[in-house]
Amino acid sequence: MRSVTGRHWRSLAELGRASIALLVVAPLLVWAFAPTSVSSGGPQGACEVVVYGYSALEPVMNDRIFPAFRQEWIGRTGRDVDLIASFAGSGTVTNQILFGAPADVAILAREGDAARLVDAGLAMPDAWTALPHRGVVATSPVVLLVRKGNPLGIGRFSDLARPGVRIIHPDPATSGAGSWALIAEGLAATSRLGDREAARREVADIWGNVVAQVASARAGRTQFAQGYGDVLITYEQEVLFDRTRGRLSGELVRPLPTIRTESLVVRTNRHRSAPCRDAVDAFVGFLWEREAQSILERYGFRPPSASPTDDPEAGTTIAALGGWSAVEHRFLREDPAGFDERAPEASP
Amino acid sequence: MTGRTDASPASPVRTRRPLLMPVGLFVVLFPLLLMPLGAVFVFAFEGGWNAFLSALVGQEARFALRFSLRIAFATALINTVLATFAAYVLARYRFPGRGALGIVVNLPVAIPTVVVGTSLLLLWGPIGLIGRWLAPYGLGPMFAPAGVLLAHLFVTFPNMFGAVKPLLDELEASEEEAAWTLGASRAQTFRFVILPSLRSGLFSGALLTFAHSLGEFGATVLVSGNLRMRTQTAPLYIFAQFEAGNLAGANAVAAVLATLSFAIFFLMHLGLGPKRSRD
Repeated sequence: MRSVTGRHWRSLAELGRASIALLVVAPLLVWAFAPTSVSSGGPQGACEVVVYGYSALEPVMNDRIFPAFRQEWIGRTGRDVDLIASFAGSGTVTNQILFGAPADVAILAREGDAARLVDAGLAMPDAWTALPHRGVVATSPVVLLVRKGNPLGIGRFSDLARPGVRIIHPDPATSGAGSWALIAEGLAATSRLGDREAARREVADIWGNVVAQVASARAGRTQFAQGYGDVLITYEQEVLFDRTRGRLSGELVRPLPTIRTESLVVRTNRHRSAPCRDAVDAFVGFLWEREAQSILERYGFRPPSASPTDDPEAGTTIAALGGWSAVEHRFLREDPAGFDERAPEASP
Repeated sequence: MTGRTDASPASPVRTRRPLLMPVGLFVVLFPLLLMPLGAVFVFAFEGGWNAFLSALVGQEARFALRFSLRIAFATALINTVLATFAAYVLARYRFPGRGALGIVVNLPVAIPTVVVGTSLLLLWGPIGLIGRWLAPYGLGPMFAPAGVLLAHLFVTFPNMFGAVKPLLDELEASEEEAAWTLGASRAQTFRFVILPSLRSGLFSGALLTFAHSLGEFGATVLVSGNLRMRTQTAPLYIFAQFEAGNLAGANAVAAVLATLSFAIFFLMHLGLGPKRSRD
């Protein structure tokens, strides 16, 4: 029968155990709650700019563009700026913003995603068209990455429909690259076969060969690098970026014709008060300045606008095909691969 | 004699081949549990200690670990209070709906964490039942540390509750009554009579809650917004780094998390001592 008052330590052993527990827990507690420059709200007077971007942008933004802008902003205004970002597939990013993610700027891979933000009242209808180059900050054609030596002899999108080819394909439901890839496949099939039905069948065959549907372009790159699949469909920029770092795990193949994808900057309606609103606007403007554009170029992106001197490898632009709505209707909406359960709602 | 002896917990089973079963267990557990964990550590230290440490030096990695630890401590603390309160009320009071409430508080165990995340978004997000009133003012816990804490409190509640409730159930009401007859107030009774008997439950419950919160992913990935240096927990960091192809960074933090979890369970084993019974 226990004493009503209880005792504190039943034995020395228990005291010993409690001490060990404290020895482990206390340092963790101290380290976890120690004030850091981040926890104390960042450098004094710093504005926060929240950027949600699609997956392929993560390295160039984190490594170069954010620090470059911060330097320019401090130099210009004497105040600091805190760039906070989150990157994922373009569709995922848009969904997060739709669910309340506090983005000031969204850099998306599809105009369809931008339109969804407008529909939800989170961005003005001219949120990107009023910007330079109609909001396009960079472009990159859709390409293929195959294993070294190109053992399967892949040269065109139609080769992807051959039996036995294993494809890593971004998921059009969450990834902009997924939609662009579908457009490129449809475009290649239509221009070669002419017949819409035949083209649709070819795209369906390509989809039959998909072994991994990854959530974003970056995730696809990682899967391929780890040895899955024979071919990856992705942005040219991703491949060039890896190549300059000596990290390319395959060979670049440029199937023609291809589509020239666009990175779209959208300024959201998120309410910001005076000083920090300027920081957001300045960041948006910075993206088209000489310094940012040359950084993007070094990371494998192509310039925002097509020029007459462009090589055919740059790809056909959306404008040349009649604009996003037309392209979306033609290549994305009509259930191009016959997989009704899955990805038809690639964009609104 | 080679016959089996009485296999009570205290005495080992004696057979002709005493090592067969333990070896068999090892063979089963090795690929299932031990090798995957081993793989994390092997890849984390592939470049040696220097590579491992430099992968942890980056401010994102440190922030993610710190943030996870803060949330875990806060979750353990808050749920200790909340779950003990809930367990006490459910154990000591009779009221209509008591049975149903007892089931409801254990529901988080059965709900997939991803569903927890979506349900929180549907409550607190801009179209949510409560969130729609907060959104015009720019308020809302989602995509902020408070949202992560809410998700973790939800998901880990049964850990503490399940550790404390059985102890409360077993506690003799006569001891409390004795205290009352001696003039102790309800608070004093709780503090000096009930709480000491709950100690082991509180200890193991807190550790379980802490460990669970450290590793929570499914709900967190939805409600946190994955903002670097703001709401990115360690598991989110690992996932993001892995997806981006930065295996070194992912594995380093994964190894740290795994080690922390080992430490916690070692502590639990240590703290609960050789036996679980009270004297």
